[in-house]
Amino acid sequence: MFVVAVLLQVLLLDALFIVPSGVPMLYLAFLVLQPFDRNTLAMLGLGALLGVTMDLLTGMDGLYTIAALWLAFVRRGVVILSLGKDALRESYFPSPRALGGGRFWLYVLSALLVHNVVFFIFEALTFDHFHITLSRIVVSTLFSAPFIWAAAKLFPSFNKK
Amino acid sequence: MYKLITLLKQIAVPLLFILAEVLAIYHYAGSSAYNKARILSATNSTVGAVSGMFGSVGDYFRLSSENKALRGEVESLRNRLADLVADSTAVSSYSAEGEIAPYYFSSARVLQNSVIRQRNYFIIDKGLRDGVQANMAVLSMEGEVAGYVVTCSEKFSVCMSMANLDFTMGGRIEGKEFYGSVGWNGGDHRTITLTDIPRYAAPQVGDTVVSTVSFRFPPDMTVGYVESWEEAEDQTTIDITLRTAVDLATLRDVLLVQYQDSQELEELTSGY
Repeated sequence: MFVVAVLLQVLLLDALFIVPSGVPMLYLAFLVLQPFDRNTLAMLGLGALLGVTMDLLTGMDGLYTIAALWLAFVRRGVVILSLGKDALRESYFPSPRALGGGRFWLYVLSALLVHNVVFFIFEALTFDHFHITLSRIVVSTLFSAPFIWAAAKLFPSFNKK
Repeated sequence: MYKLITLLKQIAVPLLFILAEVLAIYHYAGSSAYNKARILSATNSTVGAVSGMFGSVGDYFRLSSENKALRGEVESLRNRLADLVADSTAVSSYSAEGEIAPYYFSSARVLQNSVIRQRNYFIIDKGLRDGVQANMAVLSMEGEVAGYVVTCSEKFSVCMSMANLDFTMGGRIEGKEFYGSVGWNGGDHRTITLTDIPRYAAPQVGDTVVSTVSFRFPPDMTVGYVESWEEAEDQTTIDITLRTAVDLATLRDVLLVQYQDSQELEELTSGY
């Protein structure tokens, strides 16, 4: 999952420019689709691994790591806010089948939004033309979600309870 | 002691997160184009190999259009050569003997490119050993402005794309003597702006905007075309929206331009 998501992101999605003013972030499937009962320390390790790998492959010098660590740290909160505290006890990988379509989309969109706010503000490093940064946050969140949904569908082992 | 251990257990993960985040931010804040060149040069052998494979397939399908463009270029160069031969007497009378041509052109291929970020760079396959230097202008093969070289390693160079929040250059509407500043505000990679143009410049939709002479860019290189304009906040100038002449997303082969007197011009104007 890790290798496929990262390679598809770097070689295909980043190179094709398929979304104007935004970036579909398939690689985040690796973090977003981790089991809900995975503890924050493990998530931080996975976030660091993903972020550093993306930074090395894209030459972004820390931007991906900053945002991936942030998502890894706050994911527990995102799950609680979007799905309720009971969801944290579940050991399955999140998928539309396991969560139900509506709850899955709510969780994925929330996680992507939380990540993208930090990612794009740090990318811009300025509040000039903030409407453009804002549009990049919204566009990237909306266009990334279907890729995460497809990843959850395409990796059958992730759908097992 | 037990309480201390409990407390440490409770704050260990948040502390680790803060520490890791601070390290990442510190690294990001200290990042430079040189770091990008170093990292990308190191990873280029792996990513570049796969990119090259996709690129080769793409090249094959682009052969037809590239041949057409090359034929046009050859035709244009032959015409210019013919004109120069005809005017050789006049040219020699204006040129001091042994004078070096002001601009030196060389070509390179884009290895890695991006237009999806707010600070976009592209990597070319020429570096210090090929005579590439920082601040050389980068043009498309048709002579349209694409960016400039920021830093070089031995074999590669990192170029700042026109689609970069930090990019800036001088520009003017062709045929008029109103000078302004060209930049990008982070939106669509084909939309840039020309600011500080007086209101009475009266641009027309479709007007060509060209470069002004600077230590990076030769004059009169096509930058973009006027799409629209609006009054600036100072109410004395207008901000013009341009469509870039070059499509940065499809940039493959580029011309590098070395202005021989760039250092002298930069030193002269640096205090102003």
